Amino acid sequence: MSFVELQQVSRAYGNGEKTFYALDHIDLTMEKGEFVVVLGPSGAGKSTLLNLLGGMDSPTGGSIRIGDQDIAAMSGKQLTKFRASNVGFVFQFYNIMPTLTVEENVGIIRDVTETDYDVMDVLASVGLQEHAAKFPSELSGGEQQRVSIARAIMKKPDVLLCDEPTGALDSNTGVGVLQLLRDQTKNGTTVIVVTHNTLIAEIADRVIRLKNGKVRSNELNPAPKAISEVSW
Amino acid sequence: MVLHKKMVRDIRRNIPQFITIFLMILIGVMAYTGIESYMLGMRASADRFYEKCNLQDLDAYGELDRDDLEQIRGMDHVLNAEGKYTVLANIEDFDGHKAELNFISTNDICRIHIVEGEPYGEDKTGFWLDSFYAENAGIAVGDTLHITYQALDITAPVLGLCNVPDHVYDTKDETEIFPSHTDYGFLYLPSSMMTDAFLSEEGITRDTYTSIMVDLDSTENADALRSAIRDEVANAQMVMDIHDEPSEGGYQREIEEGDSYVGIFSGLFIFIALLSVITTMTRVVHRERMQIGTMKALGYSTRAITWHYISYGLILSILGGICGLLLGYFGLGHFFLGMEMEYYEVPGWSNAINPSSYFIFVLCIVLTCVASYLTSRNLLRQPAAELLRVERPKVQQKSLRFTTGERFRSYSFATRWNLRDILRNKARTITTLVGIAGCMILMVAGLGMRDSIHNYLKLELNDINHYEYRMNLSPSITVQELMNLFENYTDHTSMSLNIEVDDPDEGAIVTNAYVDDSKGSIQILNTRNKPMKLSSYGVYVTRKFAKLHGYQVGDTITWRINGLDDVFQSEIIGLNRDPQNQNMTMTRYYYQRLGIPYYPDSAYTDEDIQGQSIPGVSTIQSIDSVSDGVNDMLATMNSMILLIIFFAAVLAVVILYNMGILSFSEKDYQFATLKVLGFADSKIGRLFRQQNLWITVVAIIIGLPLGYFVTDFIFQEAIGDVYDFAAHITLPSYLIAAAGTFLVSYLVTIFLNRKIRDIDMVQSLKSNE
Ligand SMILES: Nc1ncnc2c1ncn2[C@@H]1O[C@H](COP(=O)(O)OP(=O)(O)OP(=O)(O)O)[C@@H](O)[C@H]1O
Ligand SMILES: [Mg+2]
Repeated sequence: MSFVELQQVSRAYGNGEKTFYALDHIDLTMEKGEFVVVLGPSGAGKSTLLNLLGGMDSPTGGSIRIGDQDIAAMSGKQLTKFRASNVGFVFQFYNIMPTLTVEENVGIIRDVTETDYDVMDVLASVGLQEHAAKFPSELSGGEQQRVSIARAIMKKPDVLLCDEPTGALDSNTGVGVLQLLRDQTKNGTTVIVVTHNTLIAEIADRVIRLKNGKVRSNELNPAPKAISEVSW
Repeated sequence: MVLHKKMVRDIRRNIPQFITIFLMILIGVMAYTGIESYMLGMRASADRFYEKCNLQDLDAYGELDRDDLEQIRGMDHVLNAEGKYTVLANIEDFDGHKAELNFISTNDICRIHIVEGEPYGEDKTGFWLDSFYAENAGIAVGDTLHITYQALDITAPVLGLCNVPDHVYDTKDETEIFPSHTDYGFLYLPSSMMTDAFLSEEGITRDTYTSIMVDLDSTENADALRSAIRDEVANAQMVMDIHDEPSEGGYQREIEEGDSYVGIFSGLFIFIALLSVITTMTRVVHRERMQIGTMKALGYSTRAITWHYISYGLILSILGGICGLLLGYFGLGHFFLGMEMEYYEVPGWSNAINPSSYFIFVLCIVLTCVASYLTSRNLLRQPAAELLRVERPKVQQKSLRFTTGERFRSYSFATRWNLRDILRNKARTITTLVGIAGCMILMVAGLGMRDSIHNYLKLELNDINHYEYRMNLSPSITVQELMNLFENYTDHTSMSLNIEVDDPDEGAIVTNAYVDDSKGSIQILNTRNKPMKLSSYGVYVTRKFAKLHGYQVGDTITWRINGLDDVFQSEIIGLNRDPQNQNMTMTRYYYQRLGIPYYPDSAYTDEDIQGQSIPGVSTIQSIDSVSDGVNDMLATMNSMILLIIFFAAVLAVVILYNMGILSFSEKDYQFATLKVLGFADSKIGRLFRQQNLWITVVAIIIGLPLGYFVTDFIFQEAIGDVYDFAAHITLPSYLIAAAGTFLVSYLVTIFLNRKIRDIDMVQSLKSNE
């Protein structure tokens, strides 16, 4: 049994005759500790997929299972709890709180779930320990993205969902961020990265291609490259 | 054209903020227009009445006759004069009701205005009765009244119901605080109806007058004629300017009361309107940063775009102002005036618009435009390229830096977050603070006014007046009658005198003196409102009199009694305090030592003498009837206070709701992020509520003392020179005001809280701010 399993999952918009399927009855599987890259053209349904996996949105049909939890059947309260303890998010625009310092932005996780990690240790692991007392506006884009990664890994999530994490970053910084994300798979976290950048696919364990709301392919990468070998 | 469409859409998108601007300007202009309009309406309505019915300029009092009348008529600047004989009579078959009988002959001065019935005629036989009293007592035209006074006994029909310009504000005597028109009214009748028995008993003729009404060519000559009549007409004991008499004086004081709160009331709302303009425009302009850049890139001039943003404020303030003017004039002004006119007998009243209302209207428009201009100016000036760059949410690190120190470590993340959010949005915080504090101030002032009046009445009824019944003695009481009164009822008496103080700086100050022989029935209060014992080696003046006219203990005061030529010099040996009369007080002993005879005009007793007819006593008044009148007045005040509390709540709701929406829309993206991170709605709700809670508590704390000061200011400074009230606000009033303010704030916050549930995480996270 796979760690993540989607069966006949749909996300439809509109009603009646003009129903539009952002995701159209898709089946997918992913394993624990995999580094998964989701590719596809704009409008393919990539973000929709991440939102469903993260419990931010609910499917209009089908079932989603992560570990032993059936997300599609959860109530709003249960979803909140699921997000709090099982899911880490990294967004293209970082989404960190502008009025909290770096340390506080990461430490905020303690307010929603228990964690064994120490804030300063996590900040050190992403190379931000000297910036702990700064506000986000005093950081560069790459540093801000590392804050958001630190916040995501603070709770040691089962799945780490990243929507265009390198979209706003230059090549070198982007590589650094990918390295950090890749490192998380060692703890057993399944890392799912949505991107337009096909080069990133070369370092993935698994590559999923979406188009028009359907899965075009779901393949294991027989020989993932080391991150140091890619650049764009 | 495109910009116009954009404006309509923008207004729709910012409905709550724009409604606030509109409403606050509306309320501000409405309050100002309404209050000014009722004040001006009272003045103008009375002036029209005075003009139409030819109100006299002066009244000469004394035992006057035809010769005096002719003499006055012959004086320079006198257009006409007419005599009047006034006594206080009983209306039989109406238990305890009294009528002020006015015997007149011709009626060219102070003409009787007929509300119903036939016009006055010298040769008719019948009564023209106070229309307000008639309505309360259920007396109609054609009814027969039976009037008695001493030997006078007349039964005649009521020929007309009327108003008379020198009886606009008509109280039974000084102790009636508010004209009730229930058991007392004025009544006019031709002097031909004086019966022979009455004439012979009083020793008078039909050409004897208790007063002569004098009509002058110009009010400018009033002072000169007042002295001239007093000096030259031997029988004229006292001459009063009509403006100093109870009717017009009391009326004018009532009008001036409006002045005390019009500024505070309308200023507060206009201030809030401007704060809303600033916060809303900041928000709109910042949110549309990119759009502004695009418009510039497309070739719109800075001026066109600036004008576009100013026009929001312009349109809203014009609309709000016009509605405010209309509602103020037709709504509030009319309503207030109607309330007042239940007490004042002015026929054909209508409110009037004070031209200064237009000024306030224009001022609001100008201020709104200036505020929009100043708010948007900096941003609009930037070049298109700069505007089109993605703006990162800026955090002013300097002002927030201190919140990252050790001291704040122990605070929760929510506390720190809220603290910084407040510091980041000072304008919004201040607006909210002002709005809630304003609500608190209004509630405290509303309830405090009631408390203070209550306290004043307690002072009057419990501390000053220590008797059950007060007898007003007839001016013609004989020595024998007085002896009988002393023997059989009471020897607690007092006397009031109209006096003039000769002040070296101000000239003549018209006031009165109270001569005490009440043996404790009337207590004189010291400056701390505690009873004091009077000494007999000098006089006392009230502390407000001393303050107004610059007297101190130890000074010598020069005074004369109206109608007498003697001038007295007395040492001021103490200050006393009286809530509603600023005058001079002395003991009977001191008074008689000046060599003037003591004729009491009031006597006090605890014995039940209700309804008895005691020779020499013209009216008997029970302290209970005073407190009844007082309760009526308090009931009227209650509706005023409800209105104030309602406005206070509206103020708080509008401000809190708008600032809440503003605060929410600034942060919805942060809330969405928190939601994604796994924060429960209830937790985000607490975070959101915490800030409003803090601001509310601070505002309440600020509002408590300010509410007291506003109330105190109204009573001490604004209410008129004859009163000496201090604000006296009880603990329950503070608590109710605080609880009410808190409740309003809490309800609005709870209402806003529901928006958190509706945050769509997916939508909110699609873009960055
Ligand atoms: N609220 C919505 N209402 C209707 N249709 C929507 C809504 N949100 C998304 N869609 C549609 O669903 C489809 C998938 O959207 P999604 O955001 O998942 O695309 P994506 O693959 O992430 O694209 P991109 O690479 O541009 O981010 C799109 O065609 C979009 O138009
Ligand atoms: Mg997307």
